[in-house]
Amino acid sequence: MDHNGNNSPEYWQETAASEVARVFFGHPYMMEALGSLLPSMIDLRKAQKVLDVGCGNGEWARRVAKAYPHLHVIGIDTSLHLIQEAVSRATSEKVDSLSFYQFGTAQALDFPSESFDVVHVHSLASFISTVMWSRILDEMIRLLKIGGWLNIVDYEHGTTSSAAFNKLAAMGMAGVRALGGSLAPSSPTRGAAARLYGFLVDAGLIDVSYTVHALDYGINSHPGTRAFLDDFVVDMQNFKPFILQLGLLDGETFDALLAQTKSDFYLPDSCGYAYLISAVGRKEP
Amino acid sequence: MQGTPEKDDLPLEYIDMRDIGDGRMSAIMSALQFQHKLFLREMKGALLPEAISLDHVQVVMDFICGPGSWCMDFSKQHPEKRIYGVDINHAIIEYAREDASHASASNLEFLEVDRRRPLPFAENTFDLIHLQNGTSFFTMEQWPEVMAEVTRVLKPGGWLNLVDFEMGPASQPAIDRVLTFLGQILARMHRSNEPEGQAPFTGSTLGPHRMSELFFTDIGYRLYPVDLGGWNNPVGRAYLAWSVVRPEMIFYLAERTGIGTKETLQPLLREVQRELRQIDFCGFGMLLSSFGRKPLNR
Repeated sequence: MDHNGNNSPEYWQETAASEVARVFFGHPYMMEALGSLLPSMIDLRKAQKVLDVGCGNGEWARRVAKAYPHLHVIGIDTSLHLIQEAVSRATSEKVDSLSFYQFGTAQALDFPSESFDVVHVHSLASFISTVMWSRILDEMIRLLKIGGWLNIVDYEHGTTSSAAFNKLAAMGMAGVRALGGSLAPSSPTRGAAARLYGFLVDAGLIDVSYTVHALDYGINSHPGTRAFLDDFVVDMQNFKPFILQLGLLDGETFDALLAQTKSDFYLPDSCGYAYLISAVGRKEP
Repeated sequence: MQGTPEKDDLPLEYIDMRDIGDGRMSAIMSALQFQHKLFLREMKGALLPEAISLDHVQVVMDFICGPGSWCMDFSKQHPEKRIYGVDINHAIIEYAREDASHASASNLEFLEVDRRRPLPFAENTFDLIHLQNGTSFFTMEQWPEVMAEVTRVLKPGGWLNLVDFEMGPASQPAIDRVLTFLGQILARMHRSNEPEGQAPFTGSTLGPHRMSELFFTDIGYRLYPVDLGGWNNPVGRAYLAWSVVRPEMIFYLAERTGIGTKETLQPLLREVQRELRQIDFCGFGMLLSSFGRKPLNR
């Protein structure tokens, strides 16, 4: 181990897979599944500054800025090209109360303490290592004003009627586990979604609560499902190198499973879901 | 008198998990009644998905009705309709009959059926069949036969409603391990669509497909996320303790399936009981209600 503090484990993990994940989690369909941009107890009317950590292409930040024009919304991400995309989308949609910054993977959050009313983070589990949870939570809480809210959203895979997809998802989970990315001791889950509530309680926040949402994969369930699945199957293709590199599947098997998933997902009787958990807590005076 | 079912002699595919429990049938019945209340809470008090129109529904079957919670509620809401609560379990039907006689529901009748024989109803009898917890009751191999039989007794255009709960992840380490064991147990009992038992999923997502294979129409489903944790949710935690990770059930099934022994699992289940009382406990699952109509032309 290096004893130099600056070279301690990196705060953020930046891989091709985590970048894909952030775009996936920022999908408009995810926002719709959550039902609202933030849980109802967070009143943005009196808020001034909102931070979106790991903002991806800025989908959530853009929505908040449009819905609450009086706010200053700041999105940060480690990926330069996602930040560029966020900026160009905000520019083309003429949303000017938004700022986006790229920051380094070894960096803490470079903002003054007690400067935000709300800190929001989606799918943190996909871009930090499991050992960094408490450090990053503390860092986000540091940025909150007294009485400010921390809102964390995370995803956990459920199950579907497609055996091929379930197999791919199991391989994906085996990969996450092999890379030390699971918080669960034995179950094939990422483990983060079920632990958010405890993390916020343990971090000393008050008024901690959470809500469970269904992310519906059924092709006929909602008007937006088809467009989501179109993007989802493309995203899955991007995970191929990751699965192959870990030796979990060979290329041919992966391709066959993905082809089968594509055909299964578009059947009228397809059925499946994932979970989205939104956990929230407030900084104690 | 058929007495207590000889569950030790039954092959794995015929084990009724409701028979497992130190001979205390009333405890299991209470747990099932409690489950009904929890499900109803999650479904905002609706006994059926709104897609099912009851305008022309006259004769209804609650298949594998358990202690009869659903069919008793339904019969009270619809005194003009005729309801049959049907189960294969003698002790359960006795219990349900007694309970119903207290409630004096005159439009409700309970029937015990033999799972190895066809249902004792003529073709085209029912306008609606409600089947809850079917995926933890029937094996993957039994489903085609179950669907064929249910379809036979449904009227053309009659509705089928399949309602099942799937457990999702939980926050604490011991319950995480027990849920992993449960996944393997369900796989060995052939009540899982995860062939290697990676997760405790019972194949409820196959409901719409099972109906489309028989050319059902108006197929759809609704998802109801079920919160089982949080500091102010004793109902959710009790459901986990009494139904999902019920110690007697896990011990018995672990031994029958060769997953583990009571001795090895007991400390783990004790730890689970402790975890369920921790303030930061979190866990959740999904209630899936799928529906469809028997085709008119078959």
